[in-house]
Amino acid sequence: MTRRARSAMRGWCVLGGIAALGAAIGCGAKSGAAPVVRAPAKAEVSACARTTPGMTVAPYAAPMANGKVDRVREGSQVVLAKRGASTLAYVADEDDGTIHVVDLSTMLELLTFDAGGSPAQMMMLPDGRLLVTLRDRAQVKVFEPTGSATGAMSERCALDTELEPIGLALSPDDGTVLVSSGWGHALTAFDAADLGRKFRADLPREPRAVVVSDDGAKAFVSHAVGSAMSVVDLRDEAHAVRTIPLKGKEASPSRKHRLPIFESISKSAAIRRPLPTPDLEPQDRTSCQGFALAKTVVPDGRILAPQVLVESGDTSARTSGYGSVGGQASELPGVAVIDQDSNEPLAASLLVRDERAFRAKPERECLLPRAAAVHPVHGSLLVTCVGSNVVVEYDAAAAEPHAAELRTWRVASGPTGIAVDWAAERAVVWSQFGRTLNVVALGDTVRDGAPAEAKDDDEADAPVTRIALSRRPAMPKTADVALGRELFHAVGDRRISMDGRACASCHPDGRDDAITWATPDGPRQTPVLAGRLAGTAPYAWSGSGQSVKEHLTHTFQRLRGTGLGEHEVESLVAYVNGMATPPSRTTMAAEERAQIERGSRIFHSDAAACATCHGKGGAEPDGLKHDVESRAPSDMQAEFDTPSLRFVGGSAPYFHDGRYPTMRALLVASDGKMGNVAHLSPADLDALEAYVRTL
Amino acid sequence: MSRHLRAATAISLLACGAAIAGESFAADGGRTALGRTTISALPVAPAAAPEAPPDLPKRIPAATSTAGLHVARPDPSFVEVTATHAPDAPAECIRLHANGFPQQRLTLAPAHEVVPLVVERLVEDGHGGASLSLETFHFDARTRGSVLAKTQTFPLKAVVAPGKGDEAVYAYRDDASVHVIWRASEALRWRDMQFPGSIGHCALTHLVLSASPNEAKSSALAVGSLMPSVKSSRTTSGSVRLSASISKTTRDPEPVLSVSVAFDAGERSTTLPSKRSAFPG
Repeated sequence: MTRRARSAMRGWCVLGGIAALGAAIGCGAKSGAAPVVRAPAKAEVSACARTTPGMTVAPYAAPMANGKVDRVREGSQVVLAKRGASTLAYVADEDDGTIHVVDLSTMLELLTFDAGGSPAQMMMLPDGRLLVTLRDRAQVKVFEPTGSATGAMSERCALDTELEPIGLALSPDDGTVLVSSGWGHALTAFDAADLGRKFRADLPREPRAVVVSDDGAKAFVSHAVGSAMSVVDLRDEAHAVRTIPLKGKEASPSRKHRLPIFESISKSAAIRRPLPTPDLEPQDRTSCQGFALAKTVVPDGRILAPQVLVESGDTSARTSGYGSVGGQASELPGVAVIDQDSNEPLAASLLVRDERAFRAKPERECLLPRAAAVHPVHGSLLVTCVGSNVVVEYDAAAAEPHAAELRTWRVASGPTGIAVDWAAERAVVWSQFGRTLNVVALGDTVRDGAPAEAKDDDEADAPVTRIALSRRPAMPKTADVALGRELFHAVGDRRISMDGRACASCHPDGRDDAITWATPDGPRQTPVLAGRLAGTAPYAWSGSGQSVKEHLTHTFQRLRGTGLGEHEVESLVAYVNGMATPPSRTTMAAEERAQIERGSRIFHSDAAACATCHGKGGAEPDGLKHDVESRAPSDMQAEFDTPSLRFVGGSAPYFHDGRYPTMRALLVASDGKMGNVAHLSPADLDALEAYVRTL
Repeated sequence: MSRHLRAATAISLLACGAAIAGESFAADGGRTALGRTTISALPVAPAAAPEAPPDLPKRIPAATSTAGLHVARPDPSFVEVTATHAPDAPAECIRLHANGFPQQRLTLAPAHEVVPLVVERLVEDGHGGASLSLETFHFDARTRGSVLAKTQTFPLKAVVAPGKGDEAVYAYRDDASVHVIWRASEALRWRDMQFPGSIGHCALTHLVLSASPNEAKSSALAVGSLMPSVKSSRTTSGSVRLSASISKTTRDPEPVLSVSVAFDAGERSTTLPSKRSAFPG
């Protein structure tokens, strides 16, 4: 077999049934000098345990805070592994439902295998098993190395999780695997040896990344919405969950600050020292976009949480757009720093400043942070930013890392995963939209002398190498939908918004930001888009948009964007209409099923009258506006369009102004104004709520 | 992990550990420089004496002049004051009184009363050591007379040692503050982002932070668009920022000063074509 043929064959080594075929035809015929793995002990033998000791792939190691070199214990869309002297990158391809294997020595893609679903994150266990959260399957798939030189893996088993497993982490003692479930709002723990379930902790909405404290006593969990981080006690039997508020403030010194230079002329002062605190009038901001977490090594003891601080306006007044508008940035990037031991955020890390006027390239603001990793030796934090399509490096030891930006690198579109190959001074970044693996050189590659001597982009050295990865031949996404996705996440696109925010800023993952915005019509809670648009016209709480296209155009106007072209709007509509919906449960216990059926009967009954407006299954609203006595003081009108109730269970707070924090509060408080529940027993109310949560 | 890798890691960790223990740690990544030190490792200003006494003279006779200031009158309406060049000082700035912002030259209207001026002069010994001299003058713009009222010298610690771009960051502290001095390779227009309306223009940037860690007001950021080069007609669109902050977590035995200097010089990339499709069809 020629080398070329062998290379081509490797590409065909798709796992599952094909893996065996691949091995037979020579895929991975070589086996490098890899660490030998012990055979599993009897106690560990289970359906998920290793079956092929002597594996050729070992987890990547990095310096830790205790001075030792140890394995990476956080999940990512990019997982590094060692195979002999080579470093392999396993890349989770959520669009294709595959995992790519790339040899970082040769920059060649070795293999792609089927993940069995949409892989969100991966993590390698000490024995080489690869855990993969499958976002659309409520499962964690477990793979083990086959011994192939290509880094191929074979499936061992699948663990059932709560809906939409995303984040992964491993405790420092290697004993516990933690899985966060976004739609299932839970953290589930598994025994790392036999992967049996240990416990489940209920969390607030939309958990994403997980890191475990150095002592293994608690897990920190980020949330895409909700202005908070969760801390789960891993040792206490109750596994209590504590919330760390991550709301911040914006310093607005330009408003009332008197320049100290004028003051100094008329007064004699002591030696120059911290100036009197200027009249900053810091403005409260909620936080959002908590998709990523990282744990520092130097200095240790800090959890870094990239996020975005949001100014949504005074909802007691009407504004000219969404939020305060008026030149103020509605969204500013931040990095919250949490003291790992006290669970307290550093106050400075929750303060942001609008520095757009001082930035050379404000369109590169990190308004959609999606993944993070630390460089364990430099002591820097690397964050991938979707929309602006950059990787930003921050000083991880700064009190406010977002104000200590060190470097940025442009990468291919949609960077959603990152891993740091610290020994080779490079970061490996997966760009999901561009289907490209970026290898970013972190060493001294750019500047040699004064910045004025820097070369133009095209002629300079190349700190970013891009590797286009293979794709399935039958891609479900058309070019238009791909363009729509780019536009949905576009940051700094003046056609969409004047202040740079993207559609995904308020609709992370196509859902909602749990924020109520001040608008020209009054307070408006962001609605879920994914799965809620088809057949639910008109759109907007006021029912002003007769089509999605019309509503989008109206939204751009309110965001003071200049507007998109016809084809781009069509593409955006195509993407929005086809967004991946939150997952739905497919199995449940008989008792629970009975309760939900009971709730369904209540929902569709004439007495409760829920379906009268919301339609069958809550998904067929009547398309009319109703006055349900919910008019807020700043509302322009009293009647509101009947919303679709699809996925309503995961989109608190409720009503157009977000007045009800929970589903139960909504059901009880709106009795007689919007359906009737007063006649229901507590059990019936439970059943109704349970049913509505399944919609 | 190879033996070499382990050794490199151990060295790196030792270096990092030393940094937190008090020695400065500088990782020059080319266009970015990072430095950290503990607050106790900074030299302490000998006394927090006022730069200028509270009582200023009403008038200083024209005949009174002091070495250290150069006064010109390019226009009848103004006087222009600069620091007299000291041969051993790579950077000198002048500012108006205690809370002014360092400038290469200061323009004053003659209608002013007597004002205190401070000349900041950085002296580097070429071996990593440096000191900051603060000379306080009383200056009468009407007569152009001046009196040297006070001289103070503060030893400095290099937090980011002079590197490729010839920039360096030094620091010292007094009883309540940490002073961060950034010496650039040329004069920059810069802002202290605590007070964005303030604009300094000099090769020296002097940030003052509260020594209390983790306070929002304790961190500071300077951003300066590079000025047109004196030596050529070329200007640059890049900017450079100095970030300095003091933080402390439960595990830190004492507050950590973290400083970075970052140049915005753009990024580059190349693209490798896909080698093949891994899927049939």
